[in-house]
Amino acid sequence: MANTIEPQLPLRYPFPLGDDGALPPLTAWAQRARPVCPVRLPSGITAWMMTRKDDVARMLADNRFSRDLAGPGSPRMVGEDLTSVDDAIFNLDPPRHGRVRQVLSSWFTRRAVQRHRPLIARHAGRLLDAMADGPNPVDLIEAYTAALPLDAMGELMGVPPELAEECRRVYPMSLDLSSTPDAVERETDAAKRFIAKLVAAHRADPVPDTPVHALLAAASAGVITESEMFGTVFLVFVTSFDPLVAPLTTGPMILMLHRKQLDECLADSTLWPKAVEEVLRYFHNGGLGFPRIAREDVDFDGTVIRRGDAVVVPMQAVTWDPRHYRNPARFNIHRATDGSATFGAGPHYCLGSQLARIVLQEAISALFRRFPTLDLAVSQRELPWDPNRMFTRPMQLPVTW
Amino acid sequence: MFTLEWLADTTGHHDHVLVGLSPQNGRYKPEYIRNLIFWLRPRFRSIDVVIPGFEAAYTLVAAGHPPAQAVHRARRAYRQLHNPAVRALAELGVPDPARHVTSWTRLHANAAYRASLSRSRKAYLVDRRIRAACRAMTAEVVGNTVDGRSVTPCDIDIAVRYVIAEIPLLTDGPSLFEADRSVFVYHRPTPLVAAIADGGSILRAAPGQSWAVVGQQEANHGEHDRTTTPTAIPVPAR
Repeated sequence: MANTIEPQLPLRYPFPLGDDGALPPLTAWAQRARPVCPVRLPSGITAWMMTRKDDVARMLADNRFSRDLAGPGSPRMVGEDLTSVDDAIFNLDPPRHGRVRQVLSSWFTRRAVQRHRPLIARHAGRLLDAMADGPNPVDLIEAYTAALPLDAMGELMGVPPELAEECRRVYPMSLDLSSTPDAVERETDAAKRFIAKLVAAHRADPVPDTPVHALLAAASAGVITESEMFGTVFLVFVTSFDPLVAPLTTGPMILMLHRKQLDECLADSTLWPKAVEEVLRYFHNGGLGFPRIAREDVDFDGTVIRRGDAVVVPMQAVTWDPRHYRNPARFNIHRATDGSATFGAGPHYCLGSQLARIVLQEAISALFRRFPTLDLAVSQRELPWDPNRMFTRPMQLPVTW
Repeated sequence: MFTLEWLADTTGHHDHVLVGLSPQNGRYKPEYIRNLIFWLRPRFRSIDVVIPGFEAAYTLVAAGHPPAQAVHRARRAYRQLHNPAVRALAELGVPDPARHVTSWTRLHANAAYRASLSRSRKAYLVDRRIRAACRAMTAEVVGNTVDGRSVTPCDIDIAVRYVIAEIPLLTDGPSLFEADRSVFVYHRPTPLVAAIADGGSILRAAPGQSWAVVGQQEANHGEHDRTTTPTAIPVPAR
């Protein structure tokens, strides 16, 4: 489409999705023709969208672009979303960001997260047992991919039993781009209330070896402020649920659509991590992400980004950049490249990237080991993708076995 | 020649019509689908057609079919309803006709459908009247499919998902299809519509929602009545 028709600028987000979660055609067009492209967000503001991997890496590491969106009047996707929470790690610029990140970094290292594999496998096994005893066909999201993060991450993050039900009401947050600013604010407020109760519960009855515990200890020691602790617990919880459901859903979907590669994984379990890397590369579950703001005028390859302008980055464009990924539209678990770029770049590189990987590896391998004949129960054309959902995925994944 | 009987004292209109097609009723042959759409389209400003999603397989599973076989049959039945409906809309000059023939599965892309389904599931759990209507209709659907045995509560537990997934089409047509007024047409009244329409349950129809029964006055009427799997659910008759 975009080869012959020049779309009207600014582009209006959300874009129509690509087939089966492929890169949206408008994003692909921008990458070819307008690598720094104006995009109108649902909130009504216009942001600059960057789509080339080298540009994105440069911008994300450039201190002239701030992540601090907590202030009133900051650019939002829709309304007062999670970026409006004061002092959350998401919103901090260096050097404050580094000080808060340091509190958590040892908990999230590649080596440190390995010890959580048995916990994830245990919850996966329990849910798969229930799925085997339940209806067939079934919506895999309801039976497994939405339930697993709530159960496994809930235990890992130390959600006490008395708050488990509220946790399930609050998460996953919908982060719906078609929502109203008021609805977004209500959703954010509900999560804040939950986090306040969770922090109080952890103070009364500490749960060692959790990120919350590390943040509370750092706040007590004066390493971080109370506000930084609260905002960062808030962020850790948002990222513990919503962003996992999407790849837990799109991963099995794309593997079922590439049966030969799935069979290779079933025959050789060392291929599961490769499959997960390709799932991470192929899809991105955060749409345009959240804006950054130019602190000063910046000339970016001939486009002047004015001080105060918002900049957004669809990370799927990065992992589909043909300058770095050969034939990016092809799902191929044997690529030499991994999925790292989906997690960002620069100081805000996703803290939970290694934990996400082991959740996906354990969950997807367990699913297909238990149900090796698992297949879609509808045509792939019928899968309901919601372009308004920030964490892009089919909203239902009917499967049979 | 068709007739349209508006239900529950609703006032007729010409805004939007939602046509339910059933994979489990013999009347929904390609010619009937074409005739029905050709008759309805000029009478309304806009038209959409809905076809059951993967939940249709539950009635076959409950009747004893292996799940993979049930899914295969349900997918085939879907195509047999989908293609004639798209062709009919295309012949009538409806732009992008495939967009107006939607499976319940695809409706999950719509936040309004998801919210309505969530309310419907809750209503099934807590509202005795809705629950009874859903189970009665499910028993009828499954009963038409099983051979030589009675339908058990366990069968109904499996297949009732089918009936519940359709409730949003009975309550929230206007928001699902962005119309001020929307009428859901099916070939006979059902207890679920009655329970929603008379205010006796916790489910409420959205403003602008109405229902109508589409009848056929001549030609093949008898043949259509000889369906081996008469309806159970609203609309499309099962």
